[in-house]
Amino acid sequence: MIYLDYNAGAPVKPAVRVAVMEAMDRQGNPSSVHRFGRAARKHMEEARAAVGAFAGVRPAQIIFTSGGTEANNMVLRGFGERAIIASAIEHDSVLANAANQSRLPVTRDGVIDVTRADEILEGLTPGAIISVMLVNNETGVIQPVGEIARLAHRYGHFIHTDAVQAAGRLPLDFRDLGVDFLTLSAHKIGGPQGIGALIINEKIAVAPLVRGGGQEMNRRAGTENGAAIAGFGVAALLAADDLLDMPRLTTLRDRLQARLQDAGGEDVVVPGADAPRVGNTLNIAMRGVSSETQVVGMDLAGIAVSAGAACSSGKVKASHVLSAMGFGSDVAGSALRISLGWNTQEQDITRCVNAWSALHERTQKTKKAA
Amino acid sequence: MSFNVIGFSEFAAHTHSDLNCWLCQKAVSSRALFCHHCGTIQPVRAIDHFARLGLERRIDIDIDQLDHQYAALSRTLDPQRFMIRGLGERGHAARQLDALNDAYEILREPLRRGRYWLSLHEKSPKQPPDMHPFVKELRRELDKADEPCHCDRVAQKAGHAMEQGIMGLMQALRGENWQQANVTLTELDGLESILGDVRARRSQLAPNNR
Repeated sequence: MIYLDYNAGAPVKPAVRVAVMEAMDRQGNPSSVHRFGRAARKHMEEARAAVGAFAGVRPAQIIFTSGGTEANNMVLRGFGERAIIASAIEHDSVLANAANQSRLPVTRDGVIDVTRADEILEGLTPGAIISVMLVNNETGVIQPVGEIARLAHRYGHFIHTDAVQAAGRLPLDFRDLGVDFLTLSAHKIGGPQGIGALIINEKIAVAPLVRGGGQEMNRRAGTENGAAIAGFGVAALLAADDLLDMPRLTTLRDRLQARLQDAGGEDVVVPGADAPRVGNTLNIAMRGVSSETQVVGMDLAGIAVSAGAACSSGKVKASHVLSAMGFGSDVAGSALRISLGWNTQEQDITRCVNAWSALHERTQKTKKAA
Repeated sequence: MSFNVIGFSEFAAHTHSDLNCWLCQKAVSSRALFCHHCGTIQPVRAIDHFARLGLERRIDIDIDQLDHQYAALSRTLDPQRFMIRGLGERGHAARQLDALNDAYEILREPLRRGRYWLSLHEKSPKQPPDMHPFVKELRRELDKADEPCHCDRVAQKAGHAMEQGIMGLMQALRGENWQQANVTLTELDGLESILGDVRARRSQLAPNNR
């Protein structure tokens, strides 16, 4: 079985697994005063420093959460009654908290329309929270977060970016991006599932989402997940190698795209192909063939890919991202997301091309027969 | 069909290399800073400067991207991070950081990048080409300068010629016109040397007016 669904979650790196297992063998609660507690805290703070270096922030700016979804909820619910404006292509954990009206639109290439964003942000009462992702999970398109951040601050708003898909694919620098909050998730960079972080500007107070304890400097109650945090720390360190691996993955992705376009001809659409994209992601639609049929067909051929975002319900529906880009259901309901990562090989690409081409041929025959 | 997608037994395949970790002896990529099995920092390997910064190998690099890659990688290699590790790892980390700094400085500066690009393609000249007449003329003009304003004029001409020259160098390298690239590089070296000498000459002529 070949795994090409890194945007849903990267396989855990072996050194991360070792760190998690070692941490599970240690006893002690990091809030305890005795030596076990102090040792647990020391390990946790080492991991915090590693995540801090990864994102270009001081350790005190990091709040460990149960993942990206909690981090997004924490920042979007932590301000009381304020307008929350998100782009139309955000993850559900952002969209569920944002106003339905005034979504920041994207262009046909899947890039947030900065001119429209400027108009919308200017019309808001100052103090709104603007949430834009750094890299789209379905298309891999890199968003102009720095520009949106400048606009947000110009009009007196706060700015949050969900950077879970950018981690390990683009160099991250919180200050350089100019954002107030940034979300990370460990399992996108070969860390464990169930751990993430919200990075904050310490000058801005955010109310805790989970209450009833002083952990994480009173920002997130509950005993910290020490084992997962240890794994996150190692994954953050090793993510430097993911950056170094990106040219290789870009070459593989580009080769994959070219070969699928050759095989599929006019039936193929590659949303976001003309925009700046991270090198590991390919979104490709086989026009008129449902995403579900393609995902199942590829799975039967031994290739694990997904239809747009990894859907928590397990159902495949038309992509809201592609719809926001202006594609009709023939494309938005027919897209596959193929995402590469640290363990992807050249031969994986060849097998993927063969499986996809065979699937395309079968569906064309079925169409003709019908 | 096995669903053990990334078991330890299959892991070695990812490394695309026959190098081994100095500590655990498992396979590592030549690009890797760390062993993904044991998390140990690796010794500096013989890779090109583009690979060391995680950039596609091309002469027209995006300087912003270079800066961001460098910032992220140098944070990873911050010596403070390795203080709690053994002597061997501290040494490897320090040498990795030195190698990263060298690679960054060479790629950041167009002349050095151009020279490096020629050496990567084994197109460096066996003998340096003759100095360009314009550079010789500027040198004579500088030698004759006896007032700061004369130096400023030379600096202005040299600066302008450098801008033009760098564009010409990149064009020659893009077009794989190696001979032209070498000629232009020699001219740029001469101009750079003149600019350095202009500063020295100017401070001699007007020591209190920099």
